[in-house]
Amino acid sequence: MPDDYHQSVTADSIERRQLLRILGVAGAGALAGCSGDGDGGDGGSNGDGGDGGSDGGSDGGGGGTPSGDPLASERIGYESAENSMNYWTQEDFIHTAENTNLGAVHEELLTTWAEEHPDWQINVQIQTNLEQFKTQLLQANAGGNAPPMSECDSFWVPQFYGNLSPVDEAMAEYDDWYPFVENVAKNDGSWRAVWQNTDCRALYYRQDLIDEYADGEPPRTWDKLVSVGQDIVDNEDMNAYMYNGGRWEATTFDNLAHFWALGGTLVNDEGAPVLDQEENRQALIDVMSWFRRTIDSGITPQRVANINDYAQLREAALNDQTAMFLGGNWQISTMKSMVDEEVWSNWKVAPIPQQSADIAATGVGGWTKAVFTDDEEERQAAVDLYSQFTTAENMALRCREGGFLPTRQTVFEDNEFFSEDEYFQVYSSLLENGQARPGYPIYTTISSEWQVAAGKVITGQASPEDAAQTMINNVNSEYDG
Amino acid sequence: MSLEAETGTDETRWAVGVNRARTALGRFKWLQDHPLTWILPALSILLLFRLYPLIEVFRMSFTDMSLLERTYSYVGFAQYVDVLTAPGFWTMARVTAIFVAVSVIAQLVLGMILALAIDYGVKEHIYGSVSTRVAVLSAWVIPGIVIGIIWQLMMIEAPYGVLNYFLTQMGFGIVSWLSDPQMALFSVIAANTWRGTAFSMIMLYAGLQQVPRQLYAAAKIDGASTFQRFRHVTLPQMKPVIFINLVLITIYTLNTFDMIISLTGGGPGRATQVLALFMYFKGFQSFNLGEAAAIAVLMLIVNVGMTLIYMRYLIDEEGV
Repeated sequence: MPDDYHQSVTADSIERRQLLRILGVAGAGALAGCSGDGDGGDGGSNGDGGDGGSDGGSDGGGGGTPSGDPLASERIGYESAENSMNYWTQEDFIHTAENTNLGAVHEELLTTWAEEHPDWQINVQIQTNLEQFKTQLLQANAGGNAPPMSECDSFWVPQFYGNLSPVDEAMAEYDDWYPFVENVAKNDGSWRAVWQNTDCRALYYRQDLIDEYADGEPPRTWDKLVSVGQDIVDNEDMNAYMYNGGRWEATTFDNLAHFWALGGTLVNDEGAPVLDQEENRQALIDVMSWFRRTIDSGITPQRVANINDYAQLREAALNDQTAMFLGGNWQISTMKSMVDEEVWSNWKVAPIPQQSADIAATGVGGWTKAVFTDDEEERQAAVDLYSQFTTAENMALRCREGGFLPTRQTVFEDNEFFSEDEYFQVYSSLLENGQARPGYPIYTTISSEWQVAAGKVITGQASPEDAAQTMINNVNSEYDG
Repeated sequence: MSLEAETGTDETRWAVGVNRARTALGRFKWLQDHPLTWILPALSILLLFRLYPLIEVFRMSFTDMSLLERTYSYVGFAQYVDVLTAPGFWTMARVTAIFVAVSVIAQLVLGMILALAIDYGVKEHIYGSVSTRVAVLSAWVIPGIVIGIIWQLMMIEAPYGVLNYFLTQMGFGIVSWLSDPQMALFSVIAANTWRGTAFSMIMLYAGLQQVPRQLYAAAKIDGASTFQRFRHVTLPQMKPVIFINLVLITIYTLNTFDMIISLTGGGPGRATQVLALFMYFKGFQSFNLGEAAAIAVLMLIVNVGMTLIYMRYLIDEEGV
């Protein structure tokens, strides 16, 4: 193809793409809103993804003695401050959070920062559609106009390494971060994101049934899960074990715990898929075989192939339709709000059963705070604000009121709210083996193909080996273009 | 030349003014009488919001445009080749063909039955005819996403799912509406038929009103049975409406993805993944606008092809 056949994008074509993006935001926003599960975590919500662009410049405010309120609905800092910058965030992460207790915690933290930085104000730009938020941030970053400050899904941090400014002052002071935090948020010896809270996946089980059929010990291995599950299926009018198996992200994310525990790796350091390496291929086949075994053994109904919402797992649990399920840590609080204590307190959490008892893993998510500006003054002001979120006391307060999991181990150990709660103690042990999804573009294809492969295996359309091989071929084909 | 001659008398100026006014009025009348004046607003909107995006889709389909990149290149037919050789493309094409064919036939047949029933009910002043029409139409105005969720709730494969609850009450077992690959496709077709039948019904009902009543009277006098009157009077008279209806419901069905994404997400596996859904995933999950545009163009070609086929069989040389 001749060189002149290629054409660089021009200003007007960017406009056209922006128009398309807006249309996409509208369509996808409606879809995400309707597929949200209300459980938090992976659910989506309606709305626009907020506007783009950044400024990072000075507004030329009054300066001098601060006047007025340190916080407003879309502002952090005094209105009279002479310096301003933009901040893409979510309502749950600032003082206007719908959860008023959480909002009050944020109000205190943000006010402290504002009083210490009277010459700075931050223009808050609320992002309401989480999926579109990620897309917009990627696009803004690709266009070189990312906002100076932004929330950033932990899953996307590696994608932005080259554009993130260090946030060491907020992170390096502490040495009790869970390993996964350091694995993701640290790059080239420098902290690149402030990971202030997380979530994880666990086995939910009904204590009364486990007492009866497993001597009170939740199954730690696949073999044990199958044997206990078959006893339950034979004697109780319910399924034994359920999990996300439909066409949505949780089917991949939840069950990747098995793959990771088996030593599997999805991509290499360059972001290239490595599923065709023998150990990864075998791990993938083992997971697919596990899906098939859950169906063949009768402990799991085939209908999991259409479960595309955590709420369906919760409904099955609360309707006595399942004895165990693979769910997210946030679900216990939802269950608490829906049924009386006698019912929810019968549901406990445990590590996800694996091929053998000596391996463990769980998927971890959550949002981080990142700095995209190279301006040192802006960076410092941003990191000072982020530092408010990483002290043990503030992290504990936020996580308690927001139902999040702390990312520092000592918060689980030293704070009574966490140290005396049996659920949080299990989550704490799970987080020691937490794994984040690889933040590279090919992951969307890997996830999509995983969902297809899982669906085919669960419904008997393909053998585990064939489904795994097809998945590997398709991922490689997409990556190679 | 005198000053008066240069500037003209009052009468002259008046005459010039009148002439100018007449000319302007004449132009205005010409504009008023010319069809272009009245067509122009609609034409502008069509060009801006219909033709321009269409041209853009064609252009994009020849590029490697991505939502995440600032630049793009023209790549010829590479995107079309990628689409046609994509894993599972022909499976999706087969699923799409079944989905469209069965949905269109079902919508047409059920729409015709409903239209005839309501037409009969209105003529005979049967109570509830209008409310039936309104109830059926309500299915058409519900957004596809919501329809998907409604049907998903109805088809939950547990004793508390609406359909399975009734089936178990009647002594049947639980049906795997959405987790069995074949049943899932059937369920998606059923939901889409439920949604589209209303539109078909209203089109065909309108067509029924255009059939001259004396033709039925004449056929009756000739001894034609009810079925014969339908076969030899109603159907031939309604050919143009049936053609328009077929074209529209084919386009609507081929382009459906919103209902499917909320009902099955295209699964299990790729059992219900139609081309429109594939296009959505390419555009807004993989952010590959070029490939998504290529799928859109292929779907447009299929739509045009189907329209030509319908024309061939339903529209004769007189245009009826």
